[in-house]
Amino acid sequence: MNSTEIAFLSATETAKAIKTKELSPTDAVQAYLERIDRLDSRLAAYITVVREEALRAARLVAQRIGRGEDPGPLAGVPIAVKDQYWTKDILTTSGSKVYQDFVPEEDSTVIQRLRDAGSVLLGKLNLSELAMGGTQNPPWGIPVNPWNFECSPGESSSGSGVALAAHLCAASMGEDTGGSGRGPASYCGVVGLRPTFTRVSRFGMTHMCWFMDAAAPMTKTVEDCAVMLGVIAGYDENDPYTSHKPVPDYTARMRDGVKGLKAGLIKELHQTQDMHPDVRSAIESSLDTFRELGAEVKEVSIPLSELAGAIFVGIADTEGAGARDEILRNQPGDLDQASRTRLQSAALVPAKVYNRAAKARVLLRRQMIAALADVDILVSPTSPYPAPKHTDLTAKFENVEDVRQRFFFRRAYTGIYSLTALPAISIPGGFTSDGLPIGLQLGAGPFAEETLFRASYAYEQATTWHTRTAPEIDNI
Amino acid sequence: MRYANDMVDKTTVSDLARLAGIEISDDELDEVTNRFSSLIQEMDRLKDLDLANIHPVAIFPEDGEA
Repeated sequence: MNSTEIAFLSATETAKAIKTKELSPTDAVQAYLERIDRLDSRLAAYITVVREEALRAARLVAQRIGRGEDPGPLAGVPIAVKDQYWTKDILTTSGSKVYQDFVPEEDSTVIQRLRDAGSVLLGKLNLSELAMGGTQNPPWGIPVNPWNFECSPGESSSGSGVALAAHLCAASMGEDTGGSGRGPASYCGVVGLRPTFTRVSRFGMTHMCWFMDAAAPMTKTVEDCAVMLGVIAGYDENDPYTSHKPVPDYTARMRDGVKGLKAGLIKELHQTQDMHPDVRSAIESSLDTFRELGAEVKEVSIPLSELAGAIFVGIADTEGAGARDEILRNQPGDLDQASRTRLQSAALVPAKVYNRAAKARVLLRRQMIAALADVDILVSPTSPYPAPKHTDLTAKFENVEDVRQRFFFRRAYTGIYSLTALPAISIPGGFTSDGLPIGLQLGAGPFAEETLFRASYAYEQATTWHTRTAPEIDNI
Repeated sequence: MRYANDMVDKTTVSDLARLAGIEISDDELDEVTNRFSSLIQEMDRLKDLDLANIHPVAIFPEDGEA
């Protein structure tokens, strides 16, 4: 295999090739480091590359394999993680000048588990400041979408999406508060999962909103995502809110198909006139695919989903502003203009408004659970439109309606799962006529990730969207 | 102080910020006002919901509804 062929392998293909000694862990790391050197000055996916540490870790994996040991399911797989996860002795900026010198003394649980599974950390990935969105001038550069450099790769796990779409790592970790993992997955044409809220430890993750932050595996394929979740999921004594439920082998039933499965299109999120026509068409085609695969497709109603964007912001931003009160008072000048004004406005929200949002969240959960009593998976686009231009995303808000359109509307699609602690996955679901990826979002009941992987894998294998390569990277 | 269906004005936002101990620069006051006003208006749409017997929760039960 040449270095390009190596870099285009999925994580599971990489691990398999390494375990069978078709590929050395060092060659795998070198292949990605070479691409990072060649491409990332234009893409801005990485904040920190830990070259020597990665090569050292790769050699250790090779030594273990040489001794006949099994390094784990991610043996020698070069990964990269959003710079929101604490990494021992490695700079962890959370995308903000506020943390530009923060070097944690320990790993987050997610990082530790990824290391224990044999993966090799290549570096830390760029993100919107403090895992929020709309950052106008990211201190470590503006990440660009490999499918169109004028477009955003999504927020806030921007680098995690870019690095996958440009094959600058074999798998990545994002974080998903209101869609921060699924959004970039959608815009970059890769897979992104938000697990059930208590499924994965959040110890050692800089928080955006404690009530909704979730570790988000982001991968090139559904199978990779199932393997990644299996590695990071499970109880952690450092995060007492993690579930004690056993962690299944998420790949075990992945190939069971969808015959007899019930899929429900969320009516309120599909009938809106503001959805991009190519997105609407892609979602309707995906329903045809599920039907052809043997699933039963119907429409379900979740009335509060239309307001989920506002409910989400009412809780997440207010909570985030409260948690960052000290920064707002003492270091406002260190924040990006968009982060600062977003947090300042959220800090003014009256308690009764916050309380109303918190109650509405419970009502939304009831509506979601009721809908899921009738179907196995919920279907919608991940975003009602494809990746917007950078300038559209970061422009100052002109008026109240502008805020509603650009800030609240799209957050409803991913926010419904964040608010209700339910799992959801974004998988490649098509392309617009001008070649931008469209994300298909599937959601399920509590701890029903196996069902999500089953449906996602069946759809992925029935389509070719995940096999396309971002064209812009060839022009660098 | 009323928010209701009315657009929140810059003076209200300035007053609230002062009470909260937050300093908003003059050139960002429009932006903060737009964001805050929009949030209040969106949240106002929740007023018609019957939320009387619903209690907020931090963590949902592992299975089923709250």
